[in-house]
Amino acid sequence: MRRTVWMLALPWILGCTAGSDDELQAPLVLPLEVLGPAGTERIADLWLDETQLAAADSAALVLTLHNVVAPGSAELVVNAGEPIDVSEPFVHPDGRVSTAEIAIDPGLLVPGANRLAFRYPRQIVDAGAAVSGYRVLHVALRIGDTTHVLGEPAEPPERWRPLRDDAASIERGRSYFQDVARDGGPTCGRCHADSGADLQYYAFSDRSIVERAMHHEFSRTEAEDLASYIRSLPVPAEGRPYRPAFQPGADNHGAAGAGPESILPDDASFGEHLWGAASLPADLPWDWPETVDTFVLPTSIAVPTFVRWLPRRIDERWFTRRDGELAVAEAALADDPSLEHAQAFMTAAMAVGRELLVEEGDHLARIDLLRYAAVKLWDWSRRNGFDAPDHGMPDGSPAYPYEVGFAFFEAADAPGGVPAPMAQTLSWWWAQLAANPGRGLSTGQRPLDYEDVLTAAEAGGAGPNEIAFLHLYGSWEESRGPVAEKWGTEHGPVRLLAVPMRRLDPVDRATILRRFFARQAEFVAGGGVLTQGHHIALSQAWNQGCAELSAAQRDALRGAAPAEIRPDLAGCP
Amino acid sequence: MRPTILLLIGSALACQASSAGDPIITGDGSTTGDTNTTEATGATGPDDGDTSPTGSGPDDGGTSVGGTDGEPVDCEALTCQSWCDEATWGGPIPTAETDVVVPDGKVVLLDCDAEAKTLTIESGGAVKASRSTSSSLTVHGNVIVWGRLDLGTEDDRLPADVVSELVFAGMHDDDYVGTPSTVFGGEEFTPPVNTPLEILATDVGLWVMGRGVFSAAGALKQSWSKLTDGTAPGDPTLSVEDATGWQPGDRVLLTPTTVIAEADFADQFDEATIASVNGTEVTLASATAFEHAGCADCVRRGEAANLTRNVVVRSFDASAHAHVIVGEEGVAQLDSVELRWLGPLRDCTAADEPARRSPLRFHQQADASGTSFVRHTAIWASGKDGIAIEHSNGIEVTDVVVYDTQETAVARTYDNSACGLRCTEREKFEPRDNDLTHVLAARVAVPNRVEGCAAIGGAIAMFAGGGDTLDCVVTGTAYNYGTFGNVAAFHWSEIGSGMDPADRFEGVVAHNNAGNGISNWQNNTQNDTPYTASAWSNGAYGILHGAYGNSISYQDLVAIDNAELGFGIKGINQEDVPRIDGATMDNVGVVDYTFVPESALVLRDVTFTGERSPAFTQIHDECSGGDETDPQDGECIFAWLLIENPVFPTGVVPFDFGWHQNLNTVWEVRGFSHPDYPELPANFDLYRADNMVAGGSYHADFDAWLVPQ
Repeated sequence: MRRTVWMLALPWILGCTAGSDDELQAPLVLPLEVLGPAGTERIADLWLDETQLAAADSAALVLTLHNVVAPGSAELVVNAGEPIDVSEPFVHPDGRVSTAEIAIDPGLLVPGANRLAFRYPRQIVDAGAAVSGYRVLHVALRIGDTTHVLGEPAEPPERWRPLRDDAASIERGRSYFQDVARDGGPTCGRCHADSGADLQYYAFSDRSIVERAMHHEFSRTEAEDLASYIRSLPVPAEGRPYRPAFQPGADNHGAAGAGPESILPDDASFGEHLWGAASLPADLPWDWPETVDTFVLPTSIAVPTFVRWLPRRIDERWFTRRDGELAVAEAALADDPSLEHAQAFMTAAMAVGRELLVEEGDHLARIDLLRYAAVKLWDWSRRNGFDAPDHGMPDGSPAYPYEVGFAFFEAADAPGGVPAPMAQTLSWWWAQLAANPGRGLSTGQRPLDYEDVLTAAEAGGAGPNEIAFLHLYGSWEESRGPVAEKWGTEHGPVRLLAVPMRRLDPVDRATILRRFFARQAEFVAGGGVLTQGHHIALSQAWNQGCAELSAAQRDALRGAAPAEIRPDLAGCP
Repeated sequence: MRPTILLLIGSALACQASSAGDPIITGDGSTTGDTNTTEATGATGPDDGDTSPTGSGPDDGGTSVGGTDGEPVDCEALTCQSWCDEATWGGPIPTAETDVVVPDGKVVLLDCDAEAKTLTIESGGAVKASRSTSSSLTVHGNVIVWGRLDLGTEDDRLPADVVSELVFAGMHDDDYVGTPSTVFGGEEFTPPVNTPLEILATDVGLWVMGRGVFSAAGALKQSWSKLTDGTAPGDPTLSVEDATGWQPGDRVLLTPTTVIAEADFADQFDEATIASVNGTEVTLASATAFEHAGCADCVRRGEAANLTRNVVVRSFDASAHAHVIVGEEGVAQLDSVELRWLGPLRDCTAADEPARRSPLRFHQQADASGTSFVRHTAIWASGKDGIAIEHSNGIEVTDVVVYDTQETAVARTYDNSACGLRCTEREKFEPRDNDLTHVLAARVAVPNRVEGCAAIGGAIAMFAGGGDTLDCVVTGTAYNYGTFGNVAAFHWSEIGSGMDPADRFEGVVAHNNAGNGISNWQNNTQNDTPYTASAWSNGAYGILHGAYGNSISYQDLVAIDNAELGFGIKGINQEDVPRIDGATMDNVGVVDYTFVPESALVLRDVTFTGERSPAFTQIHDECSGGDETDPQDGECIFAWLLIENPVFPTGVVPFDFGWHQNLNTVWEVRGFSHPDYPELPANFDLYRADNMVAGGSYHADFDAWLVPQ
C-alpha cells in the first residue's frame, strides 16, 4: 500500500523500468525523522527516469527541515557522493522550519534507484541539552528547470496505535514516564505535561519518543513501553512537533497552530494580507483592531514549536528555593487546576526565576524554569479547553508564553547571554498575542506590555507593517478596561509611538499620529487631563521621527492635533 | 612585484639593498624567499590567561633599545640614522613598495616625509621621530612594534612647531578579518577563554607586540574643558576652564546643551576652528550653528574639546580606518596625541566586525598593561569604538576625548563568549584598575545591525566598572536612534565588565544623550564610596537604577530635564545603605520592584527643582495574580520608601502615591516641610487610600492615606 501511494505521488517516474518495487528498499516517507544519537542515518531511495536525467545539467534538492539549531548538524549523502553539510541555510536558534535549496552534482544521480542518506553527524547541545536530531518535512528534486516533489506522507497520527497495547505494557510505560529516571536526571513528566499529553497532542512519533527515551538510558523495550503509554492517552493528536504552537493563521485551532505553511514570507506580505496594500490605509479609526482576530491573522513571525517549549534542564533546586514555594504551587495546581492555583504557580515560578538571576546571574536557567512552567500551564489550558473562545487562557490567566519571552527579553541586557534574544522574545510574544492578546481584560492585568513588544519587534527583526500593526493593536488594547485610566499619563498608549515614529515610512507615521490625535481630541474634549509626563513622552516620540516628515505633513499633523498637545509638536519647526 | 625587505644593519655600507625581483636578504645574509613580514609572524597570545609573549618578532634576542624596561631612545648616546639618508639603508631610501625591518640595536630617526609598505621594528630596534624637524611616515601595510616606536615621550615631547604623523594608506575596511572569538559556550559553568592575537596583513594598523613600546607625545594640550562661557550663533567667543596648549588653527568640538524639547537635542554638535586664544578665552573663526551653554558653576554647561595635536596617528582619509592594538606585554604611552579615522567598521554588522579592531585596543594583557597610559589624547572620526580595554589592567586614561564613533567610546570588558552568563573565575578576567579621569565621550552612534542594516538597539558610550570613573562626561550617545531598553550612556553591564566595590564613580555627567543617561544593571553589587553624578537632558531616565537588587548608594546627584524620571527605582536594597543621600532633581519614582524589600529604600535630602510635579511617584498598576493584602506577596510586591528631609519649592505636589498593587505599600516621610502644606507634620506615613491605618486621614493631593507619626 505504501509503495502505491508513493508511486502516485511521483507520476513522473511511471516510465521507470519494471522491477523498481524490488529495488526501492526505503521509499521516502515524510516527515523523515533523523532522530537518534550522533551518527544516526536515515535512508530514502528514489527512482529516477533515464530520460529525466538525460537533460540534467544541474540538480538540487529543495529541502524543508525542522530543528536544525547548529552548523554541521545535518548531512546529506547522494548515492556514492561525499557527505554534504546541508545545515547552514537552515540553522536558527529556535530550530524553526526552513526551506532551502541544496545544489548537488547531477552526475551523482543515476537512472533507476538512487539513495539519499540524511545524517545527524554530531551531537548538538542546545542550551545544555542534547538535541535528538532534525526532521525532513519536504523534499523536491530540481533537475534542470523541472522540479519534482518527492515522498509520500506518513500514516496520519490519528491511526497510530500503541506498539504494545496490553495493560501491563502501558502501565509500565506510565511508570517509566512519571516515576523512573534511568540517567539520574528528572523523570519525563518533569519536563513534559505530567501525563505526557503534550507528546500525544503534538503527535511525537514512536520513533522520536523511543529514541529520546533511549537517550535517557531506558532500554529499547522500556522505551517502547513508554511510547505505548503515550499512544494510549485519550488526547487527540491535533498538532505536530514541527508546527509552531498557536501559530496564527486560517487553520489555527486549539494549540496546534496553523502550520509552517501559514507563516508569511516577509513583512510586505503581512501588509498585503492585512490592508491589501504596501502601506497603511490613510485613515484608521481607533477601534480598527476590534475586527482583527489575532488567532487567525497570519504573520511572518514564526512562533516557537513545542520542542522549544520544553526546558533544556531541570534543576531540582528550583523546587527547594523560597521554602519550596514552587513545589507547593505545582502540587496545588495538579490537585486543583483552578485559575487561582495557576496564578500562584506562575507567581512562584517568576519569583524563583528572579532569585536565580540575582543570586547566580543565570538567565539560561531562568528561561528553562519559565519553559517548565509554561509546559505545565499549557496543560492547564488544555484542560480548560484549547478550543474554547479564550483558547484555554481566560481573563487573568497566567501569561505563560509572555513570561518565557520576557526571560529572553531580559537576557538581551546581558551581552553574550543567548543567541538572538530579541527575535526569540518576539517569537514567544507573538504566540501570546495569538492566544490571548489582552481582550481588555477585566482584571486590568496586561498579558503583554506593548511598549516592550514594540521594542522586541523592532530589535527582533519585524518589519514596518508588523510594527504598525503592533502599535495599532496595542494602543487600542491599552485604551480599554481598567488600563484605559492611564490614557492621559506617560504610562498610556503615548509610549507606543516612539518605535513607529522611527521605523515607519513618513506617510504611515502621519497615519499613526492622526489616529492618535483624533483619540486624544476625544479624551480632552471629555474633560481628560494630560499629565506633564504625557506631554514629554509625546514630544519625545514626535522628535524621534519628525525630521523625516515633510513640512506639509508636519503642518497638517499639528493642525489635526488638539490644542493641548500642539506645544508637544514643536520639534522640527 | 615582489615586496622588498630592506634591512638596516650595523653598517649601512655592509647592507646591500635589494631590488625588485631579488631574493629577500635576512640579517645574516641568507636567502629566505618571497616572504611578507606582515603576514602571520607566529606571534600568538596566551590562551589561558597567561600573558607571557610567545613570540617577540624576527629577532628575539635584542634588548638594547626597545622593550618595556628600556630607556627612551637617546640619539646622543646612540647612533640614530636618518630615515632619509641613503646611507642608513645602504641604498635607495625605502618607498611605498618597501618592507622595512629595523633590527636589534638600530635606531632610525624619522626626520622627513617617509614611506614604506610595512615597518617591522624588531626587539631592540627603534624608530624615533625627530623633535626638531617635522616628519611623516606613510605606510601601506602594518607597523609592527616588537622594539620601540617613539613619536615622543612624556619627558621628551615634540614641540608644538614640530609635527609627526604616522599615516596608514591603501586599506579598505571590508578587507579586515579581525580576531573573532573562537570558543563559544555558555551552557556549562566555565571560565572565560582568551583569544590568541595573530598579526594579519589584511588588518592594516599598528601592532604593539611582545614587549614592544609605542610612545607618542606632542606638545601638552588639554583635551577638553567645560565651558565657563558659552557660544552661540552670532557669538563666536567662548571660555573654558583650561585651554592649555590650545592654538589658533586648532579644530574644536562643542557639545550640545539644549533642552530635550528640541528634536535634535542629542546631536547639536559643532566643529569649529580656533581663531585666537587668550588665556581661557577662545575666539572661533566662525560662529557655531547651535548654542552651547557655559557658566562658571552651574549644571547646564557644555564642553569644548580640542581635536588637533602635533603628533598624529591616522588613516589617509575618512574612507578607511586602520587600527592600533597592544597585545602580549606591549606598552602604549600616549600623551597629547591625535588618533583620527581609526577603528575599521564593516557596516551592517552591529559593529561586531571586524572583531577587535579599534582606534586603540588593549588585548587581554592582564597586568602587563599596567604601565600603559593615554593622556590628553583626541580620538575622533572613528569607524567604531574608541579605547577598548579587554581583560587588561591598570591602564591610566586621563583627559581624553573620544568623539564621533559607533557602539562605544570607552569599553572596559572581558570576553564571555566561551561561558556566556555562566562564567566562573570572573575576577581573573574582569578588567580592573583602569581609571578613567576626565574623559569625554561624545556622539556615539548606534551601529547598523545585520538585519535590515538599520540602526536599532543601544549604544554604550562608557562602560562603568573596571576601574574608577572620575570627572567624565558622556553626551550625544545614540543620537541617531533614541532609547533602547535599560542601556545607557554610562552603563554598568550585567556581565562582561567589572564590578569591584572599590571602583569610584564620581563627578560624572551624562547630558544630551538620546536614551538613558546613567543606568546600573547589576545584581548583588555594592560600592565602597557613594557614586556622585549629574544626568540632565537625556531622552529617557536620567538615572535608571536596577537591576533587581544591589547595595549601590548615590550622593550629591543632579537629575534634571530628563524625558522620564530623574531617578527611576527598580532594584531593591540588599544592605542598609541609603540609595540616595543628597540630590537635586526634577522627580523620582518607583518604576518597579521585583523583590519583596526587607528594608526601606532610603531617599535622603532630595531637593526638587519644581520643574516637574509631582515630585515622588510610583507605578499605579492593579494587582493581578497575587495577594494584594500580603506584604510578602511575590507577585504584587509592596514598595517601601523612607523619604528623609525632602525639599520642595512651592507649586510642586510632593507626592503622587495613588493606587499601588499592594495594600501594604508605605512611604515613610520624615523631616517634611513644604510651603504649600504648612499644616502637615514633619513626620508621617503614606498608605494607599483604602489602607485606613488608625490615626490617619485621606489626603486628596497625595491620593494617599496620611498617618502622622
